[in-house]
Amino acid sequence: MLRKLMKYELRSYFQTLLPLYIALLAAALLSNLFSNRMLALVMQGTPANLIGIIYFGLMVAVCTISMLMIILRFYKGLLSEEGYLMLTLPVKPWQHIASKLICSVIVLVLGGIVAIISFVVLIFSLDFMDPVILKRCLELIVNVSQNFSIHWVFYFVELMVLMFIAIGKQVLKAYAAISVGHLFSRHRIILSFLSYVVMGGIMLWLWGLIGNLINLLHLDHLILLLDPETKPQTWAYHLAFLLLIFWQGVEFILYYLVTHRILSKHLNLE
Amino acid sequence: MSEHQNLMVCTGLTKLFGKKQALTGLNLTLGPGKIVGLLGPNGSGKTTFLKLANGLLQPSGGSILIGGHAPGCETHSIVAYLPDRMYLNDWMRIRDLVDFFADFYADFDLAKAMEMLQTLHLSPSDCLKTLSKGTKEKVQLIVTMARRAQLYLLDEPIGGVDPAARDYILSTILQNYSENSTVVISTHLIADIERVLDEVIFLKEGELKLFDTVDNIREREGKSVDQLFREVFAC
Repeated sequence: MLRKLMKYELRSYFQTLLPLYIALLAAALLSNLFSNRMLALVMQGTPANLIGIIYFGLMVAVCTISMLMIILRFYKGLLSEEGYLMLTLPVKPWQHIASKLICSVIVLVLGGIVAIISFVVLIFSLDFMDPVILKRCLELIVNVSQNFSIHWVFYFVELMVLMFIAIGKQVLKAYAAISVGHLFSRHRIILSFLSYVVMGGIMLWLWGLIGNLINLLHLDHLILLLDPETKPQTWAYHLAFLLLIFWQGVEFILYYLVTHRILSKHLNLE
Repeated sequence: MSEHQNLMVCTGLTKLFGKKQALTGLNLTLGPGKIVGLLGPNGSGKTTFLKLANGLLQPSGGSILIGGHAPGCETHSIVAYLPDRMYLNDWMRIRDLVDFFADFYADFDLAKAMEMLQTLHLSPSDCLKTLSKGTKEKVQLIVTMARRAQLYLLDEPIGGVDPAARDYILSTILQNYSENSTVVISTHLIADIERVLDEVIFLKEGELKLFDTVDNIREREGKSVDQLFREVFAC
């Protein structure tokens, strides 16, 4: 069921986003072509500027529309008219949340990849094909490979895990805030926004409280573990990554539980 | 009737919206193989009752069980629900919606859905956002009735369609009638549906005023359901 939900969710997203991705890549390519010296001379620079502005506008549109859609796909898809279809499917609430969450993360990551590719296309120049530059790039790669340590693989994995949990947490925080807003019969959008702010405040307060507790219990000497003098620096970085993953993971679970509880026990689709 | 034969059991079912009582202590048992009219004026609690049966609202008191389960994932697979509003996702074509139902409901009859679309001259390639309100209602009804569900809950299925389509819808409901399935139809248009009903439920201001068979009402009262409705709910 989760796979089926995701299939329709992604189709719904890409009906809007796919044309934007294509337009962004096309604008980057055209901007690059018109920036070429020969063409610039012919066209006197004007199209390059215009396409550059269009490229920038499309980049902003991809970011804004992706984030707006993530909110709307949850609100409209589950807590508005479309909810009459979706919430009467033989599907459990966790599957609804998981499908929306996974698709949102895919959309955000894919949007980021498209933006990076478009930027590379935009700045790519035939000058990079210069043998001297190519030789230097090759030397740089060889140099990095020689200094390569297994820790870099773990750093990369930890960074990826942290990135996905942090993105997922932000999405779930929005879902939880919308769900809390839905508990009220009036002013749901304003109250959802307020819930988002309040939940952020509560989490800050909670982490501050835990920090104070650590101080009170004199556990702060554990911070020495992060000191490169007492432990190898590489392990200190790993520990820092793991602490961040734990922190984000706890918030991730809390926001998921709030959303799940409301969808399964307090649903009031009016 | 044993507990297993009861398709739907409501016990003291109550729903409050703030201080307003939308449903008050509803006790009701529906068995299989019936066509039941859920009748009452605006604000009598018909839609609230159907939404509670689908888990879209949570009861303030009492309980509702369908096939022995509280509304949820298990009951959704045996209940076909037609809400009183448009739930269609505008980017879809009719074919996408039919495929969507076929994907999620094991009891969905694809051939039957396509046949009903053809009868109503609807093309599967039509985009949902280009359809009129009445046509959208027909599409929603088709995908609901193309299921071989145990319980059909239809909220105002004939309210927004023309009289010709109304006849077709009622005949479709009759064709789906079987010993194992029960159809609950909420409507104001009693005269149009009276001929297909086995039982009627009268709701007034959230309270159950009457639950009886149509034959009993005619025999006891000596009048049609429509006439009795006008008397009970006279302003």
